[in-house]
Amino acid sequence: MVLRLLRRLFFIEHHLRIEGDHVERFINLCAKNDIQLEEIRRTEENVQAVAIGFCEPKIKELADKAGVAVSVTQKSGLLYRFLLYRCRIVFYLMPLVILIALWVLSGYIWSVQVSGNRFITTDVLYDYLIEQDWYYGDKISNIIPDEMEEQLRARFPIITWCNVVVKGTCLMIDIKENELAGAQTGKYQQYNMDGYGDMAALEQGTVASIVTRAGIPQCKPGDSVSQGQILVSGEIPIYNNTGDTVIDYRYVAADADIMLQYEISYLDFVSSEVCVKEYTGASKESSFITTQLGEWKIGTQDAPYETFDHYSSCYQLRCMDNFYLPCYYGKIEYLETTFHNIYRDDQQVREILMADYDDYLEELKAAGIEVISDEIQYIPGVQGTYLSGRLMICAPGGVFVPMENPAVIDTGTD
Amino acid sequence: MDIADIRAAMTGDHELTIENYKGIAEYQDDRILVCGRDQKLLVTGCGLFIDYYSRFDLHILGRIESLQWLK
Repeated sequence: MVLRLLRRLFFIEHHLRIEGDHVERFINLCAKNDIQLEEIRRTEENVQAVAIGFCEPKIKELADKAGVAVSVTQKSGLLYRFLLYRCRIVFYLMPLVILIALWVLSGYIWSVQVSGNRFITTDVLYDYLIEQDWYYGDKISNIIPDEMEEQLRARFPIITWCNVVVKGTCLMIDIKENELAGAQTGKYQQYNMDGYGDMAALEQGTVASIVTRAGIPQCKPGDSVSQGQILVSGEIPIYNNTGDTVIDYRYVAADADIMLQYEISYLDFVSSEVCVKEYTGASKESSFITTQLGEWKIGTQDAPYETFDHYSSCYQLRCMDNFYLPCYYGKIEYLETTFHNIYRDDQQVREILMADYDDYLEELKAAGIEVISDEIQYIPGVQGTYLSGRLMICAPGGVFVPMENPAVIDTGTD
Repeated sequence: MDIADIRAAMTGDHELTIENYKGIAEYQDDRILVCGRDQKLLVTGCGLFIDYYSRFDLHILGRIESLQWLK
């Protein structure tokens, strides 16, 4: 059935009107001459049929032979249109232009997908990709995945694994980060473990444990250290044979697992009066189409309510799975909201504060930080209640500090 | 069954496919007579029309009431 439809769509289709006494003979002759007839219907005056293919002269010949009158009432089919409009160059040019446009567009990146990032935000990555011409509208040929992976790891040392794939017009970047390094600093920090350097204390406290992998430890468990103090030195002295004179220094990237015990403060506040947002149930929708030329909206144009929330869904137009085109479409839903104040009693406030505190302890635990002791208390305020106190924690406390230029450090020997 | 015999396959009472025939001898909207080598098949019904007709097979649609083999 599908083949028949395709054949009728692409080839010339002749709608025939057959009149005479020997219609059956004509039909049989057509079959014997490999002219397939379809939809043969008898009406009161004549018989109508559809013939497929370049068969018009043959049909006339067979009609004469069978003694029937055949007239072609209509012709259709894509091939027939091509022949009919053979003088109209635009008819031929349009598909060609579309094909060329698709071919040109397929050479550029039209979608960038980043996954696996946690400490490095997607915006930061996008900024870097823009700097490197690896973004929307840039040529796919500029992208060499291996080189790009290497450059990403060099630019963001927190990335421990990176995979770059170009699928169609979509650039897919999948990364994995060093979560411990991210948790220690709380944010992405640039440092270069490949260079020479020391390990310094992140906070003031007491060393709980130290396991050195490279470098010379400068402290032992139980020692009190101040913030920034060198805990593991990357400068290793080399002594002469007698062992009393330093003849040179060797520089390494100090590396150690250092746990520091120190105090941190905690403060949280919950107001007794809180403004609550509620949805009235009224909503409006609008659709939009965005291309490189501009944006068009259908439906609600501007803010439809005095206060509202809006949810938008945006999709990128694509052919097949990964051939993304620079055209976006989507829907915006506006939900009307109202605001009113509610008052919490002391018990409710304390419950919220305690829940927040429990969440905070969970976060510390997830980051590998052990809480040794805590001392917190509720402090009533004018507009609400505070939960304040201090926590003694044991946390990863070493940070790598690169040396400026160890080669020019005077070693004291010639 | 001889391979030269007309082969007819029906789907319900609205669709009939015929193979191994020589041609059609009569075509009206209430009867179609199909010729084989040694026998003929008479299809009667109402609103009959030939969906497609080629050298190898014939597909009839419409409300088919009876099939009758004629010598």
